[in-house]
Amino acid sequence: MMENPKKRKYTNDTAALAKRARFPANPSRTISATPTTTAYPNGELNVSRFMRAHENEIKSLENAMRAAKKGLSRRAFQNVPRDLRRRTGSHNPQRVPKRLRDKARKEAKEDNTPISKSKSGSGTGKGGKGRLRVENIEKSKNAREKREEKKKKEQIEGTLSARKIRKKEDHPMMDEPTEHSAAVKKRRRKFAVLAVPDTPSSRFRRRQVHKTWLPTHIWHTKRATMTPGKEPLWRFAIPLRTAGKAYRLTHRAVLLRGAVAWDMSYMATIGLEGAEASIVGLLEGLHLTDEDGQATWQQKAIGKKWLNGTRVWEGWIYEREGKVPKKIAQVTVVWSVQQEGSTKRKAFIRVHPSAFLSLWNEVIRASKIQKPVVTVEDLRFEIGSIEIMGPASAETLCSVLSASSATELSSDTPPSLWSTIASVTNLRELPPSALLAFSVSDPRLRDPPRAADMTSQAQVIETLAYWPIDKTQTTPAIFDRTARLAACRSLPSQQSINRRKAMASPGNYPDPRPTDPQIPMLTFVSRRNNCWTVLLPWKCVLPVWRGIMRYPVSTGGNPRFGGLKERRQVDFERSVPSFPFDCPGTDAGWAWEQQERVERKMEWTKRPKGKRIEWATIDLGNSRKGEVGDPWACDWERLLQAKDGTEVTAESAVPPFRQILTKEASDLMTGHSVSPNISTPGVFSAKIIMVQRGIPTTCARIYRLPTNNQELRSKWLSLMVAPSPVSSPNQAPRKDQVSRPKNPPKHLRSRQLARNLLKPPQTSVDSLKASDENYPNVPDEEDLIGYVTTGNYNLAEGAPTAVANLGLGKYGHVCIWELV
Amino acid sequence: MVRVKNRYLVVKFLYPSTTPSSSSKDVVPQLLQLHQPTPDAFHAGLLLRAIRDGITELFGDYGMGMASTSLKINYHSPATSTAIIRCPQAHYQMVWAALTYMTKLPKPINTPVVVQVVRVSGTIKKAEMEVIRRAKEIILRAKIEQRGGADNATGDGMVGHIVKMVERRREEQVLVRVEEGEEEDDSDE
Repeated sequence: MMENPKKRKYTNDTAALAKRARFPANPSRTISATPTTTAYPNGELNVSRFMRAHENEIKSLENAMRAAKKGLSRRAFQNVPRDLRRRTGSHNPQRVPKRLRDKARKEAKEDNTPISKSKSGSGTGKGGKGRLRVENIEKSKNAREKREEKKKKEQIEGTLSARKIRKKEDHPMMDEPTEHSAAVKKRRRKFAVLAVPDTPSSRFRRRQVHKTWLPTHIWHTKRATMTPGKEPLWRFAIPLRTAGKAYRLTHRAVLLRGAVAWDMSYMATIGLEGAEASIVGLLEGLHLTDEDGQATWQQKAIGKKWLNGTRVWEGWIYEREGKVPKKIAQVTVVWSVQQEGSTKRKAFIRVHPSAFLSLWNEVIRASKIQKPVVTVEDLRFEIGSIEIMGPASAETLCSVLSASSATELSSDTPPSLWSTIASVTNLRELPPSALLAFSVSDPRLRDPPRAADMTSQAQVIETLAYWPIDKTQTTPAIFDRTARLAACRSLPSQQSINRRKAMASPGNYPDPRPTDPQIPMLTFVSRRNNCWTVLLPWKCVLPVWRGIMRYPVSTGGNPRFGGLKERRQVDFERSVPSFPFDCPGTDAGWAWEQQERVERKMEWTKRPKGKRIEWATIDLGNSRKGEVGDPWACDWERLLQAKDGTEVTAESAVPPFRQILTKEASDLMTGHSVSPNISTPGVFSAKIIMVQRGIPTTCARIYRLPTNNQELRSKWLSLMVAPSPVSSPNQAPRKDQVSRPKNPPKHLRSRQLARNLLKPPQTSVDSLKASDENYPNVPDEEDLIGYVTTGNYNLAEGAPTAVANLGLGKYGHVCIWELV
Repeated sequence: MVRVKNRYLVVKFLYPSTTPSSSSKDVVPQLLQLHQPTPDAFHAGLLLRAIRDGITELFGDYGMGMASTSLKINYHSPATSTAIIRCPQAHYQMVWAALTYMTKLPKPINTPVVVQVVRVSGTIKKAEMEVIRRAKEIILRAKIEQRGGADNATGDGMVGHIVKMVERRREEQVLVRVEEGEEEDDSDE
């Protein structure tokens, strides 16, 4: 051993030389002891040191007992943070983070927990379904083998080749179609056909027959509650809410620190192509307006920028015909920057899937009328999107979406300015509806993502002030079908990416190659939703999503994700009506309301009789019993029928009323606008803030101050006058209070104190609460004006608020609304 | 799965004085001397090795095999000369014997020592509690003797007081019974 210098020489104090203990001491299983030299320095033996040494011994033993007790009270899987906990972590140590796996295994062995080894290899699953899947796999394998055998046999026998030769003799032109196939395909695109999603892999094909999965479906299934298998929403499998509770976490991430991202690939995109004038004519025909109902995008400066393709337009789109146009949906329209040397322009219309079909039909009809016909394409399954919101959203995107190496980085182009925008935390600082488009590289090559550089403050201010991207934005490649397909097809497999990462030097990302995919990307800032929207080709959404979810936010943690519930919550906190949930006047909103009615009734029926509200016997005071209208529904028919007097069917697919813009409604009410005849009744959305305690929920009835009953009216108004909790020092003393001397003697002071303690607090006398006897009654049904569509405790406001829809019928211009 | 059961031995290392001293002045140092701290060189590893060597010497390879399956020094404090040793339940007596037969600390130190197994328990919690109880007792004794340390039987401390009371009663009883008869003198003395 001495001859071979490579062999390690074992010395006596190897343990002392070792820098790190091989088996680190578990604090709950070691008892610390002080060495003699510290307990008795100088080696003298006196009584005080002796006693202290024994006292320390007692202390360390008691600590050890306490630590052992604590160590047993929490199992390994209970030490996992809430969002990493898996249900089967208790009996499957593999479902626990790596650092706790050994501990979990030991604990399971100690108390005889059966460790279940999941037998669901290759995704077949367990139980009856699993067995069926295994059988099906075998069946399909056998079928495939039989087919191959048959083919081989025929080849050997020569029947197939004979057939082939015969075909070639009869139709010498048979080869040509293969050359023309590309052209044939292009020509076929002229007819506007509803798109069909790509056939998914065979393992998942059976589950996507009646619905489509989002590109990030599997990622979401492990972390969120999805729509039930047989009840997809709008024929997509959409995550409804996160698996763990996240109401306050989402609120904080969106407003204070962090970011929240949604996979919005279910938003439908319609592509328009044609001459600029014809597309403009089409949009005008469909009455494209903005939130306030102004269609003046041709006059405004921002309208010009939008036409050039450097801004995004968000607004409402209406049906083409009708004296009073009827709203279809909220849309976002993006133009493509005009390519030099081409007269054709392209545009995208993005719309919610619930309103897609009606919009599609309208657009097709409108497109056929235009003189140079507008080509309409359904791009629902070609373009996916991610929306991200919060102070950390800009830095996340800047780090994950990095410009591909092929794009030139001359100054002021979107790729070069992209990295400077990382430090923007408030989206309002950016120009309204600004957009950026360039090609990005595969985010998997730059994985794990690094924190974005947020130090370039001065440059950011200049960029924000001048926004040179308006001049330097080139035609976005995402409008081009070939670019999208090329990116999707050239995405390398995860294995090849892992190989490249292994070959790169440690700490560096792999070098870019010319064969890397260039993913076309378009990002815009949505003012309506207060978020970044990133448009990507469908297959490229998943790598970008994973990159976003792994990004280390500068303030700590990772970006969160959200489901439908979080989306509605975010809109609700800003008191913005979200389409389609808060717009029952549109077809989509009405369909949603019908759906929700059924669900609410079912929920109510499920609950046992003692634990649910009996709507039929609610006492409304004045010997009225039972809730007004259908208790599980926002009973619009009842509200607007009573005023109208016309027949309104309950189960119509189309709402018998329309959605009015809030501005229009307020104009009508205050009598400012000269409006045409309001033939059909309508609803408009309003925000409700609670004065006293109580949280309004969906379907809550809203009444106005009673018009006929003056006494009731004054009672209600008196509730508004809230007593001030702090009495002003200049208040004149009340007559029934005897003026007291400054320093009353002790017995008087104690008497006063006793009186104060026994007296109930003053505020309860003045303001009535709902449970008091003298609380005013609910007004009659004639004063019903609307229903709440979304209501909750609003964390952004610190008070319960609601987004409601109020009805405005023929009586609209007659009634007096008191704005209290 | 059958549980592997262990026994925990609470062990004290005592250093009785070799020179006999009967003077009452050495009472305090006598307690300290008996329970004096062990030198640091005698760490847990050395103790483990000593036990193993002892078992091999007494019980051979068989004993070594049976006893060292779960032999572990849970706690070893040289400052208070206390240790808690874990050993398999069926063969704890072997370990006890090996400890008893230790007359001096192993090679580098070589001081004579008496190893006393104070308690055997099935759980470490009871062993820890025993150590705590003994430590408290020793502290109390040391405190008493420190207070009555300066002058023991003649002092103002508690011990001195008791000694005085005993002496006084003895004197009274002797004085009382002298008058009654001689036979009772013997029994009183």
